[in-house]
Amino acid sequence: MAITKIKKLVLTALFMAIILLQTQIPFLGYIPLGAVAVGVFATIIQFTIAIATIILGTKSGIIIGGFFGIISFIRAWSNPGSIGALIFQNPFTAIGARIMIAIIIGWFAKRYLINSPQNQLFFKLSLAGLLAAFVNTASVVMTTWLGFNVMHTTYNGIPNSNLFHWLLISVVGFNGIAEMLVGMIYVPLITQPLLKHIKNS
Amino acid sequence: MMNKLIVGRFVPKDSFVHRMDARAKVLLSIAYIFIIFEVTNWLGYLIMGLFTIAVTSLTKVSLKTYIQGIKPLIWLITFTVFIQMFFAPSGHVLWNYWIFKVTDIGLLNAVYVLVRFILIIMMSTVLTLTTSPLAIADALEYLMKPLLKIKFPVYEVSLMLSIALRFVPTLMDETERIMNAQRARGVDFANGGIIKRVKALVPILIPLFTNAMKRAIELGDAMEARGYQIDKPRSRYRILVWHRRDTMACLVFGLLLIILIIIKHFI
Repeated sequence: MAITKIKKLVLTALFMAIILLQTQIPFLGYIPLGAVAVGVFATIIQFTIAIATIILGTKSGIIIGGFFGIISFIRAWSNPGSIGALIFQNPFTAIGARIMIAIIIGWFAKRYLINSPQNQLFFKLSLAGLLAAFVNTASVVMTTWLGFNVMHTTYNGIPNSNLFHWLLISVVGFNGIAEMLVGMIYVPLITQPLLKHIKNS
Repeated sequence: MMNKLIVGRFVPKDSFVHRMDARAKVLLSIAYIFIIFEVTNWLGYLIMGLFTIAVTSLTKVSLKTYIQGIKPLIWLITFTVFIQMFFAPSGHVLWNYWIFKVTDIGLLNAVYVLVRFILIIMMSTVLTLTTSPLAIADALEYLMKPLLKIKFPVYEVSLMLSIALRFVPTLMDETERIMNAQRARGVDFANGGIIKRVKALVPILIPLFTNAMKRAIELGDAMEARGYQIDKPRSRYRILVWHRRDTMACLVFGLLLIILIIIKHFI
């Protein structure tokens, strides 16, 4: 199916609606891994950005990623669900990291997924899932570290303590490993039927 | 599920704050966060507290609703306050054990963080309780207009935002229907390890994504059939009007900022 400009716009909007839903219904967007109040859970929303980027392209992915980033940023200030969520008070962490997912996955899709043979698609989509989680974690850790150590920012509720900064970054790192595992399963399982659905439409 | 949804929290009433322009409310909510970080002493926090309570009473929404908004965050707030108390790097040490030490500055900071946390949550609740999501989307479109100069697709983004907000309740109903169907087939969503939980999510998300795509394609067809074209100037159904009360509210915020600056530097 050739996706027209208008259909692409509406599809992007529907992906934004799904992201909004995932941020509001914890079960759909986060898989708890233990101490939820500290923020130990695998976030699966970044995979929605990856899936949207694979299906709609990098530009739509950036819009969806930016949208998720803005929601994280607003929630981190007004209604943070956990200690881990406080690091998204840094706009570079909240928005920049999510836009990076779209950029990297967009490049990966163009380079390796388009015209990929059917028997290799599952494996390549698994790699895309792993890459999305890795890019998200790496960008979040890097911007958080830069925020604490280079810009010397202290946010609402985050004390200016080295130990606590490391605790926060460790939580993000631990979540990141779980997210890579989840991404490898989740992205191909969701994307394959969606690609088939678009083809058949 | 519905009570967790922030976008569904709008409470229609006829109050001063409800009648205010959404642009003013969005701008002042952002300004409030900046202003509260200007506060560095107890007198400033007292004034901000009284001001916030005055604003909440102007909304005609019961204080109980605001407290309900804070309740789910009590654990997080407590944890943050304790972290702030035990990890303060400076000040006169009042209590010391292993790596933990409570200092007078740490204690004071903990109280300030607690008050700041509660005030920011209350003020952001004022915005969501008194402004419909579509009005917030309209306000954001207007506030993003300067970005047109750098060719940012403001109108497209605002249309996408409106469509997304319109479809959230529909998708939520659909999620509930899919979950009930899966439960009837014996799927357990609450228990199990990480792999089991991912596996339980997949049968929900595939139909959810597929149905959303089906709806998007139908809506796109309908828009094309009606001659919708991107990049063309559009007329508006909902028009935002700036009233004198909005200017007044901005002036009150300005006055508050001046008082806080005086307190910070001269008292």
